[in-house]
Amino acid sequence: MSRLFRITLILLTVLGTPVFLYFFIGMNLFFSPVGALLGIVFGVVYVLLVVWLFSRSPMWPEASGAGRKWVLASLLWGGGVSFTLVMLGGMPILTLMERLSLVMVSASFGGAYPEEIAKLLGVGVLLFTFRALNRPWHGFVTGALIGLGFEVTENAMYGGFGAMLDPNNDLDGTLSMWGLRVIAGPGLHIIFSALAGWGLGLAVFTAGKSRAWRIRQAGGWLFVAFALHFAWNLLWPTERAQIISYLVVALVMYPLFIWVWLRAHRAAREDVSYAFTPGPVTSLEGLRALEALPAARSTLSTTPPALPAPEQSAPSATATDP
Amino acid sequence: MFGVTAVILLLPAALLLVVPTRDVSERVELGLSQYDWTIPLEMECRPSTDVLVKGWTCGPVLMQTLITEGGTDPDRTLRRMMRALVFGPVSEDAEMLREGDARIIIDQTNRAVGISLEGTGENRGLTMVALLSGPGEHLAPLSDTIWREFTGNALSAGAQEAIASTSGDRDGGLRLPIELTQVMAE
Repeated sequence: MSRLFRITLILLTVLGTPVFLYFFIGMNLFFSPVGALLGIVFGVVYVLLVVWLFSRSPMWPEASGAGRKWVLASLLWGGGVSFTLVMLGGMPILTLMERLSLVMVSASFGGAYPEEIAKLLGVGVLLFTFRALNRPWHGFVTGALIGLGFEVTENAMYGGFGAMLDPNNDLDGTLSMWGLRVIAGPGLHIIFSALAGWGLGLAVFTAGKSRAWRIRQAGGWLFVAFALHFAWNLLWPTERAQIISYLVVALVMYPLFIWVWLRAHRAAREDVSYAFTPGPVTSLEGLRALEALPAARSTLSTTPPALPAPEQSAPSATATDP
Repeated sequence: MFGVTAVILLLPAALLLVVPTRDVSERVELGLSQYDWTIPLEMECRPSTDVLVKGWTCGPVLMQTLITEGGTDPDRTLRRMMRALVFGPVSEDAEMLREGDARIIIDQTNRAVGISLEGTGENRGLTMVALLSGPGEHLAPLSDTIWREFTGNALSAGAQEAIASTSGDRDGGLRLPIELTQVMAE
């Protein structure tokens, strides 16, 4: 655990929380109270469902070291800090697109560029903040949770927007927009960030690899996430081309996500060396306290107490070039 | 890590210092790509890169257009579409004029003019909407152009005067951040 990253996380979360509240609830309350109310209900259900789904996986880290605080920090980074960074970094991109009159790629650059970077920064900060996160798949699930926070906030905001775009009433518009977002392209931000997070997890937590290899993993998977997001956001001039574009991206994105999920899942299941300590162990008393932890107990009973720093741990994951 | 992120996020802002504005214009065509119904106008403007709805910048005026489906009350439909496009409630006092299937709202509060046309025949159930925002003296001739296309008649002198008197100072209307304009893209 790094104090620098922990302090950074706390400061940015404090700054990002009002931004999250504004985009998740505040803005909609002003424009459409119906959209705001439904956004809260659907958002909470969506978060609970996805968090529950991921928590069933062996990729989920030890709760005593990365439990509710990690989940909450991830969600707030996605829904608050990322939005803050995107608002700061995204506006110049939109101005650039306007100057160059690049209509077709305006949402691609305006969305994918700042958003994927902002979310991946969060994955990095969280991986170095929580000691229980020390395996490549922890980058994957942390990315997914950050993407979830971003997606739910965005959906709530768009739900309010949909409310206004309905010609008759806010209720129909909100329901239509949530339906569109959840059914036609579900989990987009979860997927983008999980893939980028997987790359960062590999780069940080795989032992015995060169610096160039680590940069390739982190940069390569970030590029994959960016490229998928970029392609999804392309604005084609005809509806037919737009639908074909969505289908092509979906046919690449969803199988790729499932493939990475399965690899990470398998690696996590086969990993018997997972351990962490809340702090450095420098005495027998400290070791005894460590044995009280569930994850450490199961590990220490079968293997010597290997207590490496997160950067030095040797996971059983098979690294994969993007 | 923080340094690299900051550089990457700030790179577009740095590029703004050196990237010039491209001179681009295209013919204005009201409508939405999902529908075959279009109404071309005899004017060329700079296409807007806003994502939510198609639009153009015509001098200091932002012109936006969309088609909505299933509206049961044309007056309410226009008011609601205006609310969506100006991102705020349309003033209750905003004057609405009607001629046949066309309607126009002059909204002094939002310094905007909304014009709608109910579809007939194969376009029944659809409503074509155009929203203009910007300085009043520039809004009036553009509103008249659209009104002529929608009704075949000129906008009354009184209406044009009322539009011209709106003290528009938005220079191109609202610019929305990408997070508010990506609905159709994501």
